[in-house]
Order: sequence, then structure tokens, then C-alpha cells
Amino acid sequence: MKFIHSFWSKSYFQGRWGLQDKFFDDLYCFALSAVLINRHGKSIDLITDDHGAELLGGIPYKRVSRDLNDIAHVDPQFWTAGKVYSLSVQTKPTLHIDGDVFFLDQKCYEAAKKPWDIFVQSREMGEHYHSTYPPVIESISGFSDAAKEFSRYNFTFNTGVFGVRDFDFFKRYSFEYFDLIFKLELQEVRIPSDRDWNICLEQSLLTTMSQDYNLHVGEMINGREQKSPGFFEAADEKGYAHFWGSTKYSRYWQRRIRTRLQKESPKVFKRIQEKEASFFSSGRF
Amino acid sequence: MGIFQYLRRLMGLETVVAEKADETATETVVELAKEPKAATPAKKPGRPAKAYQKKAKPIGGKKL
Repeated sequence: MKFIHSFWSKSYFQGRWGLQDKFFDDLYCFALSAVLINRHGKSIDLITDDHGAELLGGIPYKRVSRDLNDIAHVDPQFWTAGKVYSLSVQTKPTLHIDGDVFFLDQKCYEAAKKPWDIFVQSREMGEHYHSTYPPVIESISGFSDAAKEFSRYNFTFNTGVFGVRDFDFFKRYSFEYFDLIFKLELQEVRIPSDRDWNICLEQSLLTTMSQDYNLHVGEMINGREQKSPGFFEAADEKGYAHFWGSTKYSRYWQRRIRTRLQKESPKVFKRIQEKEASFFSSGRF
Repeated sequence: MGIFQYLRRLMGLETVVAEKADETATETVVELAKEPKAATPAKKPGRPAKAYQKKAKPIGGKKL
């Protein structure tokens, strides 16, 4: 199984999440995420673009590819395009993990070893799904007939981890994904401030298509585990962590992330720290 | 200038459009790169749905 991170600088610096000046917080996250994969005897590659390769330099990736230069023409509002494209250029079974996802225990790898066509973190369902997704789907549907299909299922797969073994399916999926955002681009849409379409475009399209094609979708935390011992408890028990949204930027978690990185790899920690210090002392800003 | 603005400028997302000719002056004027035409009103494009932003609790993390 191949592990990859992706970082699409063009989109990142257009203000994904609407957050600014968090670059070094993110850098420590990516570094720890990669170091933990290496610790378990695996290696991880980075799929990025020219700027990303420079900015994430110092993190111990086995290979850094600049395939995301290929999507320089894509509207950076569609920030999930980087992840989808990164997986679409793979030819061997691959697990994409977000830069804020940490495999802290061997159990994470065991879960990912089982048979599946597509692998995801979990299902988002119930109250969380109903309070988050339907208004966003409705918003996209005003511009896209294809998006209307998303409401056929009352859950969505969260792709904090996103594994691909069925590449025939993934070709269809990435074609439909880029077709969808291309048609939205042609209408010169602006994603509404309170309803980021990206999560739906990536995750709800995946959910709809994988169900329609009757694929075997493996989950890091399955539905039964969400019921008992509970979603967060199951993640803790498995040593799976995903600092989604802005949780990774809290002072408490940043301190924990940096401390763990320093413990796991003093060398990488020092490298990132020096990078940060030289940036702040450069007087360039 | 913040890190974010510096990196954006480095990437050409912001451009320096005018520099004072006065040799003693160092101030520069920065203009945002042209944004695509808006089809729907938006204050800050690309922000997540409110419910998504509210995720105050990370998944897992005890073993960190």
C-alpha cells in the first residue's frame, strides 16, 4: 500500500477555510503525519506543485512529485481538486491521508489492510449529516443538475483517509468530479461564504457513485463502532486522529502536535523550527 | 506584511503595482490579483459550512 499526502499551493494560498497565517501550524501537522507513517516502517510520497515542493521541503517524503502543476488552470476555489487529482495519477493501491490525519497505532494499518475497493475514514450520518450537508447540496444544485443526485443518499463518506484500489472506478469518479467543477467554472460561480461546496463535491459525489456502482467501501471507523464504543472513542482506541476543520489550530493541540513531533523525530522538528525561525527573522514580511 | 500575504505575493497571487519614485521612500502599494466575476454574492469565498466550522473537537488524539 502506498501512502500519499497532497498539497495544492494554488488553492491553499487563496485562503482555504478562510484562515490566514496558519502555514507553520499546518507544516508541523504535515511533518508529524509523515513521520508517524515512516515510524511504522512505511514511506509516504508528496504530490504537490512547484511552490508546495519548496514550502514542504524538510518533511521526510520518499518522493515528491509535482503533478499538481497539471491543474494550474483549475479555479482554486475548488480546493478538493488537489486531492482528487493526486489520487487519479496513481497506478498502484494508494491511501491518501490528509495532512492533519495521524496514524498513532498499528491498528490503523490493520484496518486499511482489509479488502476494499475504496477506503474512507467513516460515514457522516444522522444529525451531523442533516445539519451540514442538505443545505450545501441545495446550494450547489442551483448551478448543477449533477449535484441534485447527491441528495439520494442520507449520509456521506468522510475522506480524511481516501484509499483507492479500484482504479476503473476512480477514473470515472475523477472524470465526473472535474467535469462537475468545470461546468461550475463556466458559470463563473463563487462558492457562497457560508456553504463551502467542496466537501460535497468530493465526498457526496464519491458516496453517490460508490453506492451506485455497488463498490465495497472500507471504513477506518465503521458504523457499528460509531454506535459503540462511539465515534470519538473508537478513533482513540484505534489510534486514529483527524484534526479536522480548525481544531488543529488551537494552542493546546498545536503544542501537543509539536511536542510529539519533537519526540518522534528531533531532526525533522528542528528542521521545521529553523525554517519557521528563518522566515520570521528574514524581515521579508 | 503577514506570512500569508508574503507567500501570496511570492506566488503572484498579489502583485506590487506601484513603487514610489522617491529614493527615501520604501512604501509599496499592493493590489489584489483580479478575482473571477461573482455569480452569487460572497463575503469570503471558500469558507466551510457553519456546521463544519463548529467542529471544536478533533477525532481521536488521546494517543498523541
